[in-house]
Amino acid sequence: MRYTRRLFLIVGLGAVATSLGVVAYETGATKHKLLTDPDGENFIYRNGVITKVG
Amino acid sequence: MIYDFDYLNSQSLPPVAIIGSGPAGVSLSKTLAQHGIPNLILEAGGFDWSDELQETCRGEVVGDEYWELEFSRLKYFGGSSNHWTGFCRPLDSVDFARRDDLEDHIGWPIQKSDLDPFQSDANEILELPSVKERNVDKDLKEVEFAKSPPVNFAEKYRTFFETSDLSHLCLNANVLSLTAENGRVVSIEVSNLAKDTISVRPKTVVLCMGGIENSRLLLWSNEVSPEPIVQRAETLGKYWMDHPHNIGGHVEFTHSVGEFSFPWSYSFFAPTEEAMRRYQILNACVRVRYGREGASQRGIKDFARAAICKSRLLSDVVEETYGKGLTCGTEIELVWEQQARAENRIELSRTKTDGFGVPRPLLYWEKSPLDYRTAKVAMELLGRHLAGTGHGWVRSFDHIIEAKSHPVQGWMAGHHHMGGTRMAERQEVGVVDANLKVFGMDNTYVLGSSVFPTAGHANPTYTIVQLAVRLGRHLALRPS
Repeated sequence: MRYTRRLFLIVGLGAVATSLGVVAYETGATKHKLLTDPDGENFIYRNGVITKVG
Repeated sequence: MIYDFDYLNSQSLPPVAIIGSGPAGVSLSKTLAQHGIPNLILEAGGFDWSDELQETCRGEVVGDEYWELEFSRLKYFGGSSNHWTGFCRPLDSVDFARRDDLEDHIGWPIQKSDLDPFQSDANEILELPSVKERNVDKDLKEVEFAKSPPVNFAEKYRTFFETSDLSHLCLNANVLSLTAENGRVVSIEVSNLAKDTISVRPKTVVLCMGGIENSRLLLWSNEVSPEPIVQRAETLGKYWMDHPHNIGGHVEFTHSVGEFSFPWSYSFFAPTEEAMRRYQILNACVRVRYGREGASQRGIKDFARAAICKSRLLSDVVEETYGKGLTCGTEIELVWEQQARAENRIELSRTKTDGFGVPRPLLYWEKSPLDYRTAKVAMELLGRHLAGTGHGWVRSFDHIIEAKSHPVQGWMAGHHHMGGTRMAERQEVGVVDANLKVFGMDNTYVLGSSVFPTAGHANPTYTIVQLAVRLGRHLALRPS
């Protein structure tokens, strides 16, 4: 029982940390519009990588 | 027959005199011989490299960083075919078309269909198969290049010249200038390295000296001849181009995208005509070399890198955290069409001359905003395709995204000297007409990539040979 609780705690904390990490990464990413998609509706540059939006 | 300058007879020249023995001159000579037309090539060099002659190719470059001019050219029998790589592909239809969506774009006075009939001759001369292409999506196509062995024109055709009764080759015959009278070139001044000089009187003369020397000889002859060779010289030396090269970023494929095979495991992607017009760019080629040689043999570090690189998000995080130690994917080599602009030009130096007293060339060469835009969009088209289909991703380097200047990485351009004596419908905008005859002259032609009004993205030799065969037939069929 004690180990199950610890496991839940570790998994929970890990999930929160991962989410925060992803949010921080997303926030910190450099974003540019594409010349071929100036409104950024479908694609953007994220850290130089041509990325599909959504 | 092959002979030396000392045996050059000023009185009895064959009907066609060709200046230069590179792919253009030799292909023309061979075609003329096939049609029974006697001809003579005047080649500045001998059978081998000569420091003294190579020195005459030296010049100055102003603008973007560029190759030393004497490094790109070879002045002896076979010309630049003595050191070319053999990449071949015909130009696309859109390369010939006038583009009203682009500023100051005149296109060619001929169509692709005018050169297509000469593909089989060009394939035979360059020892090539035909090439294919296929649309990957509406904006992107995969194109194929063929690779010539590469043909060395001196090695392949030496016996031909030694035994031919119609094609003659005069070595060590350096052409210094042309003289015109009454709309004809009446005299060619020729000198050997010992500075012995004679004038020969051609019936027809064809300049096949390369993308710098064709302009240089005409510019210099215009100054020293009592009557100019190019009567309206507003465009002479101008609209000069090369194919800019740059490492544009990285690509990682999670699915195989290229279908064509090519030596060295390259795949080539290019914008479709529709995409070029929609995004107002020139032609371009995104070259991707598949696979890291021996990567799988390097052990756990490369295995871990390959695993991380499969996830773009993970690779981004790792790369940001640990710096530039992690490089995912394969380098993208960009090779693209340069905008034909009057500012990019050959002029004659006012202060420096070569060993024969001819002014050295001065090359102004700079990439334009359209050139940078073309490179950026070409990367985007491959990146959009891969991101949209989930078949991989493209990372463009900052200098590509900013589209203002490119750092020099490896090759800065292709040694493809094009323009300077461009073909056009009217002499106000070009130097030669659709048959490569100098406007206003009865007996003077220019052949080679110097006549290209636009460059496409394909290496120029294939088109040069097509033009040579076409000109050979034209000269053979014209009224004498």
